Order: sequence, then structure tokens, then C-alpha cells
Amino acid sequence: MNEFKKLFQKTRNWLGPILIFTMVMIAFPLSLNIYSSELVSSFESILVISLLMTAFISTEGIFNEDYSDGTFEMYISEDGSMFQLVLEKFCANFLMVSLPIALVGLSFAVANGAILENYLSALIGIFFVNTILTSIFAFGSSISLNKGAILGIISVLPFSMPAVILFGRFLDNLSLDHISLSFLQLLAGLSIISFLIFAWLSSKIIKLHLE
Amino acid sequence: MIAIKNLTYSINKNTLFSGLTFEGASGNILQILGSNGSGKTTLLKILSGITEPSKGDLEIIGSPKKLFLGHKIPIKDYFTNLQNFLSLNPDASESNFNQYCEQVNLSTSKTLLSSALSFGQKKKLLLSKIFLSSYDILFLDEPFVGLDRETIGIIKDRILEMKVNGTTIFLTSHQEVLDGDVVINLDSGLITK
Repeated sequence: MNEFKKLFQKTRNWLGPILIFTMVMIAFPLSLNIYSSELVSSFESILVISLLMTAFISTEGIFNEDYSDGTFEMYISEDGSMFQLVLEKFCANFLMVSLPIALVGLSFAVANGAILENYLSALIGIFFVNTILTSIFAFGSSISLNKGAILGIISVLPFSMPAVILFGRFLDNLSLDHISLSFLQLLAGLSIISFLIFAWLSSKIIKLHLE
Repeated sequence: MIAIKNLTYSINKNTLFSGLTFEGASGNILQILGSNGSGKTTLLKILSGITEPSKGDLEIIGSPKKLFLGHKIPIKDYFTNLQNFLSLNPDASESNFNQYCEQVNLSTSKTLLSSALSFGQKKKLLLSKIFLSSYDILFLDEPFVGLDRETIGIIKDRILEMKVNGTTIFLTSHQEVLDGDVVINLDSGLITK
């Protein structure tokens, strides 16, 4: 609960990525032609790139503050579970950044005519992909905690490529109305696995940094 | 009780301390003295379980309630003083905050953002942890730095009160600030009782 409060108070950390995402979504049709048929065909790639960018931004400083102000040290000394703390941070990020972005992404996808049906599938898909990307980038942020988080995030960028490819296929199928339940299950499974694995890895790496 | 045997810590081929052997019994104050860079904070981090030693054994009997308060101050600037206080002491209430502020002469408002506090005031807020909870082992890294004389006296009294209640207290400083049961001098390597 504390992590939610902390993230909520740091308006820049959650509102910033949502606003950037929204701005890209608004700027995209304006930079083309609002009536252009290209909108539908190129919307998918813009959505993928925007998601990558916002996941990147929202996780950049996810651990920095607690690392530099001694919160982690105090927490470990009290026999607190670092894994649990990282999970809380991830959850706060998913609910306050990933979920609103999924909603904004969906509304713009509908407005641009990229998604005409299956709203719920689209929302779930965007959320799960954002969850995977956020988990990967948060892990990257933990790697280079004492050298500027952006370096670590860039180093884990290749890990995000399978998620990007998968999301591309998901949007293709969605536009053709071919989304099956198993595809959503695959995305859900992958997001849960990456959520747990990257949270665990991040917790181990933070402990190593503290040593 | 906490027992340390032949504790050694090296970093980048530089040995900070080696072969440290001592015990901290319940109700003991153990003072770790030394100049800058002698490894006081590192030793405290090893004892509190944050850092692994390079060599040696560290044995803590039972599963004591521990707390490490280091140089850094985990007070969030975007929280109000009351929010920070409650975040540090989850079982405390608003009335505890008012009582504590009175006790340590922390003249501030509960609704004021902690970014407005000075270093010493933030430290007072952090030290509320040792006033509102009891611990079996306490690790205090330079606890009196940045505090006024009156507050130092209040903190010393609280430390002595905790000692009487059976808390084992490790504290670091450049010079002796309390009558320690055990004094570990990292510069000379001497351990005196």
C-alpha cells in the first residue's frame, strides 16, 4: 500500500508517461491526415513504439530513490523481503501507469479505426504487453542502479523484442477479428511469468548493489 | 546475542578490517570507533545483514528484531511530516506524532511537506523509529550527527533506556560518545571491554 501512496505522490512518475503516451497518440493522426486510410495501417506500429517508450520512461527511476535515500537498507535490516517490496513497486506501476495507458491506447485505437470490435480483448492485450515491457525495463533499471538507470534499460532492450513481435501479431489478428482466447491466455501467461521472474531478478540485483 | 568470529572485509584488494572477534550480549552497547574510511559503516552493515563479509562467521542467536539506521535519511520530500512519520511507524497514530514532536522539540506542522525540513529535523523524524518501537538489536551509524545538543541528550537517554530493556546497541562514531560495554577501535584493531 505504501508503494501506491509513494507513486501517487510522485505525480511526474505516473502522469508523465501517461501524458507522453497521450501526446504521441494525438500527434500521430495530426501529423498524417486525419481522414487518411494510412491511419489504420500505421496505427499499430505507433502504438507499439509508444508503449515501448512509456514503459521505458515509467521504469527509469523506479528504484533510484529508495536506493539512494537508504530505504532499502533500512527495509532489509528489518528482515523485510526485497522480492515482496519489488512486487509492490511493480503492482503500483501496473495499476497507475500500465492500466491507464491501456485505456488511453484502446480509446485512440478505436478513434483511429484500428480496432472496430473486441474492445475488451484489445484492452487486455495492451495491458499485458505493457506489463511485460514494464517488468523487463524495471529489471534493466535495477541493473545499473548506481550508474544511471537508463544504461541498464538500454541493455535489456533486446529482451523486449519478442514482446513487441508478439504484440504486433496480436494487433494484426485483432484487426482481422481473429483473436482467440488462447492468444490472450498466452499473453497473460507471459506477463505473469515475466512479472515474477523480473521482480525476483531485480530484488536479487538490488541486494547485490547494497552490498 | 550476536557473536562475531574472525570477521574480515576486503574491497578492491583493500582490506578494511580483518580478524575481528567479539560478542554483543543482550543489553550491551558496542561502540565502533575509527577515522573516516576505516570501515565503521561497512562493519555495521555486515552485522545488520545488509552486506556479506569477505571471511569470518557472524552468528545471531534466535530471530531478533533488528533495525539499521545509516547515514542516509529515508524521508520522502513529497510526503508530509505526518505521512513520513506513519510510513516509518506503521502502528503509530497522529497523537503519537504530536507527542514525539514535543518530546524531541521538533517544531513543525504535520501537514507541512518534509522537503521543508532541515537535515537535523529529518533525522529527528527518522529517529522516531527507536522511540516508538522496541528492538532486540539496533545498529546506529553516527546517530548524533546533525542534531542539536539538547536532542543528543534525549537520544542518549533513549539509547540507555533501551539498553536497560535488553537491546543490544551497536553505534559508530569518530570519538567515544557513550560508555560502551565493548569498544571496537577499527584504527588500532583493539577491542576493549
